[in-house]
Amino acid sequence: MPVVGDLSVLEMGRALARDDLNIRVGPYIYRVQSPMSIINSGMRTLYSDYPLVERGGFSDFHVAIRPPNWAQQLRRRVDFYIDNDRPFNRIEYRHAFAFLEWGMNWCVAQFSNEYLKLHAAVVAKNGKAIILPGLPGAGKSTLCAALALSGWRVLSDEHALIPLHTANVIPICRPISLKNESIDIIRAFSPQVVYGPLSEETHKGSVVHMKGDLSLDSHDVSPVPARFMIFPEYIKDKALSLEPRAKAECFMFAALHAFNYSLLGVDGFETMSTCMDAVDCYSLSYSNLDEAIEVFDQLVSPEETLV
Amino acid sequence: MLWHSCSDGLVYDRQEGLAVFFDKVSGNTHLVDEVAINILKVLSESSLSSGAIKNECIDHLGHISGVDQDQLIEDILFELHSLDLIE
Repeated sequence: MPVVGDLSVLEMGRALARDDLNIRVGPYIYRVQSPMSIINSGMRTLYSDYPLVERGGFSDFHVAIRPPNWAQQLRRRVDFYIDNDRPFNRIEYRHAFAFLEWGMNWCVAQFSNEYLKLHAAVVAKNGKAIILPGLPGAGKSTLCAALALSGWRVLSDEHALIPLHTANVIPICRPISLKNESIDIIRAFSPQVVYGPLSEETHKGSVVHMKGDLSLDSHDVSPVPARFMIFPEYIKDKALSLEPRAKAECFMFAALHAFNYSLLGVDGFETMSTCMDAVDCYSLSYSNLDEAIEVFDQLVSPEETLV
Repeated sequence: MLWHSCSDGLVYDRQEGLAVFFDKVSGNTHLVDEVAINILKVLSESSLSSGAIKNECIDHLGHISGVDQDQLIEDILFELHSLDLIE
């Protein structure tokens, strides 16, 4: 199957400009349009291994980043569009790639209600998925990035897509969003990390996206059974600890921070119940990424020595 | 005075001391302790007085020491009432 990386810079620029770039991201097809070189560069860096989908076919999300008119182009300001609607305020050109990523996330958060969508990163190894819910700033994306660079498969750094009445997760691997200190932490963790365009002075501070599809099966969309739910928290200088947590408490946290639990009603409750019965729940406090990854490796080893 | 349930609920209870109660009427989800979930269960079957509820919950109150059990039941009933789960 052709992938984005098969396109030359010129071909990519043409496809983006002509509204002709269809890429498969997990179970969805995005059609992306932009005349901007920063988008061309970012897409080529971070989406090079994403499957291209036939031109002119169906797309789940038709998104664009562009200035709305010449005046705004001169002022270097751009809009995010979905189906020609503009759901967000206009932003500066230099933040365009991060804006596109946020917009692509928003599409899933807003519209994909065929799944229960938890606000969580999901990683997998040996056929076992680990769901990582967490409040913003808890360190889940940093941990997710380090796991990706250590042989783990990233199913998502933002959305756990759970088909209704199952305990499976549908992979939707996208670039991993890193902010502020995490950017240098991950660069120090692995010099092989591939970053897209850096956006400085955004409302979240400095933001960069990391290539997340580092596993051979990153673009396989088969469901992966969830086996653990871990609530990570980075605490400076804290010795690593892994503590079991009550399932009811974790149910409540994950449901309250889900994108559409309430919308799904009884289906949401029943799907959460099914999922919680399938996972063991822990809190993980860590300050050292290598130690945290060792714990993860032990959890999914055939012996599961920690449980 | 008899209490009765005014909700149609689903329960996620794995005997951990906490349970999740989903109120189908409002669509709200609540994290409740084992005494409260037992009260909701018994009131879903019949209307009961505070005293009768306490008797039904006696197994769940046994390990709670240092508190007035009558007052504890009243407090939980008040809280469940404020959540529109019982009346």
